[in-house]
Amino acid sequence: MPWKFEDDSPIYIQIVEEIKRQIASGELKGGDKMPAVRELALQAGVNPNTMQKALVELERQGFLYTQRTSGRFVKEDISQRKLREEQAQQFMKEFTEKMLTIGYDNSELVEIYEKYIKEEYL
Amino acid sequence: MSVIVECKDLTVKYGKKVALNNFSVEFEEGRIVGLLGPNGSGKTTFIKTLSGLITKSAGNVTIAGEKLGTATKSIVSYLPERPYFPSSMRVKDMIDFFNDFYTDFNPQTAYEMLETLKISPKDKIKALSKGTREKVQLVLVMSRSAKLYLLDEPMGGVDPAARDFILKTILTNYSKDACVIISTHLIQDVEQVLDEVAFIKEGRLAMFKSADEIREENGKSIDGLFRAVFAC
Amino acid sequence: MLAKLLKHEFKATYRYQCGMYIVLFIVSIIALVLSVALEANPGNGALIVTTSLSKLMAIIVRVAVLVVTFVMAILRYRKNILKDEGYLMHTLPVKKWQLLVSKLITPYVWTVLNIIIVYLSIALEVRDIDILSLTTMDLSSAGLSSGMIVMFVLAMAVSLLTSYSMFYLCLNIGYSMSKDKDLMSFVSYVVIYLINQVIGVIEMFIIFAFNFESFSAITKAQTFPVEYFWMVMGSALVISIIMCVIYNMISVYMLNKRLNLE
Repeated sequence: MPWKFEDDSPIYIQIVEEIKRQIASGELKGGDKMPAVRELALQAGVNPNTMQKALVELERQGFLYTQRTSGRFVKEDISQRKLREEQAQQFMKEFTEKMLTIGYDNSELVEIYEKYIKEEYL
Repeated sequence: MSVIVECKDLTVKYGKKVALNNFSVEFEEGRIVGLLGPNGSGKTTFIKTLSGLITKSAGNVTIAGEKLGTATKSIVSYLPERPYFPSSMRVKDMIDFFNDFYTDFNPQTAYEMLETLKISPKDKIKALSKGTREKVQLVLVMSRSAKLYLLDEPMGGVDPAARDFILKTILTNYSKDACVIISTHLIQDVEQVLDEVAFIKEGRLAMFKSADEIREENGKSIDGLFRAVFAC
Repeated sequence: MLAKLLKHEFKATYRYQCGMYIVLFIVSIIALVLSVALEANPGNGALIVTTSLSKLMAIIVRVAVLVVTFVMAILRYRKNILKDEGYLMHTLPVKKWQLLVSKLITPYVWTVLNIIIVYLSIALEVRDIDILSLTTMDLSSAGLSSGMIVMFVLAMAVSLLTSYSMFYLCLNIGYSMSKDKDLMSFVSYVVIYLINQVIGVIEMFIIFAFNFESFSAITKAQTFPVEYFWMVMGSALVISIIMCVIYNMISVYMLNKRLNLE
C-alpha cells in the first residue's frame, strides 16, 4: 500500500520525517540496510527521484550513510532518545496549536491531556 | 540530462479552432510529468500530436532529437483513453501483435504482469470487463522499453485498487532514460508520483514547475493549486 | 513491416473466408448428390424440386462469397483504420502507404482464391472440370483472339483493384469530416462515381474524334469489330490504372495529413 501524504509540504520532506519516525520507534535500527531507491519508492508509491531526494537529505542530516559498493545504511550511533524527543516536540507543537484553535486556554491543556491518557490508556 | 520532448511554438488547429497555441515546453529523461488541465484545454491534442495521430499546423516538435514520424513512433509508447484493440482478439494475440511491431517490447514482462493480475492470456478481449481491459492495455504499453510514454487519462473510470496497480506499474517500469507523461484531471491519485507538472490552459502552457516547488511555494497540493488556477 | 501487416490482415480474415469455403463445399456436395439421385430417378417430383433448390442455393452461396469478401474488406478498412482501432494502427511504426497496401493486397488475394474455389465448386457440382469448355473453345470463329481474353481479364483485374481503392478513398474523405462521416463517405462516392462517368464520356468522345473514318467502316462490318475492342478496352484499362494511382495517392495524403480519429 502506498504511504499517505499530506497536502501542505513537499513529499520528500514528509518521507524524511517518516523515516526518522521509523528510526525513533525502532522499526529501523542502526546498521540496517535500506532497500534500493527504486524498491523503496515503489513501496512508498512515490517517484524514485523524490525518494532519492529524501534519502540524500537524510544522509545530509546524518541519519543514513552510503557505503559505495554495498548501499545505504542507517547510522549506528543515532540517539533514539534524542530523535524521539525531537519528534515528540514536533507532534506536541502541532497538537497544541490545534487544541488552541478550538478555544482551549494554555492553562487547561495539561489537565485535559492527563484526563485523556488516564481514560483511554490506563 | 538529455531532453526527450522538445516543443517550440507548437500550434494545432482544427479548422478555425486553435487547440494548441504557440505551446512551448521541454521534458527531460528520467522524469514523470503530469499534464494537467481541464477538458478541452489541449491536453489530448498535445498527446495525440506527440503520438503522431494529429498533424501540427505550425511549430517544431522533436522526440529524442528526431522529428515526428515513423521513427519516433517506434520509441513512443502510447496509451489512449479508449479501447483500441479489435475485440475479437485474445490477450495472447495482443501480445504477439505488439511483439511483432515493436522491437522494444518484452513479452515476458507482459506475461508476468498479467499473471499478477490473474488475467489469462487466452481470454478474449470482449469477455473482459472495462477495467480489466484497461489494465491489459496498460500492461502492454508499459512492457515496452520506450523513450517516451504517453498515458492519456490512465486512471479514468477505474476502481481505487486498479489505480494503485497503475501507479505501481508506472513506478516499476520507471527508467532513467525515459520520460513518462501522464495526462489527467484526476490529480489527487497521481500527485505523489510526479516529478514535474505542466498546467495547460486554453492551448497554452500556464505553468511548468517541479511538484515539490509547487507544494513549497503554495502550501497546498497540486490538486489544490489546480483548483485555484482553473477556478470557474 | 508490410509483411507483418499482411500477416495480421490474413489472420484477421481467414476465419470467415474459410468458413464460407466450407459452406460452399457442403452446398456443392449436396447439389451434386441430389443431381446424381435425380439422374437415377428422373421422375421423382420431390427430387426434382430439392435438386433445383440445392442448385439455386449453391449459386447464391457462390455469389455471396464474392460479395462478402468485398463488403467485409470495406467494413474492415473502416473499422481498423478510421475508427477506434486506428489509435493502434496509426501509432505503429509503419508508413501509411503500407497500411493502405496491406488492405488492398489482402482482399485481392482472397478474391483470386474465391474465383478459383467457386470454379472448383461448379466443377464439383457438374462433375466436369472444363466448365467453360475452354479446351474445345473455338475463338476465331467468334472473332475473338486469346490476346483479347487476356486483355479482358487484365482489365477486370485492374478494375477490381481500382474499385477497392475508390471505396477506401471515399471512406478516407468521409471520415476526415467532423460529423456525418458515413454520410459524407457516401456523398464522396457519388461525386467520384459521377466524375468517372464524365471521364468515360470524354474518353468515348476522344476515341470518336480520332477515329471518325474507321467508325463508319466498323458499323458496316459483319464480324466483331476488333479495332473497336482494342481501343475501348485499351483506353479503359489505361484510365483505370491512372485512376487507381490517383485514388491511392490521395488516400495516402488523407491518412497522413487529414486523419481525424474521434
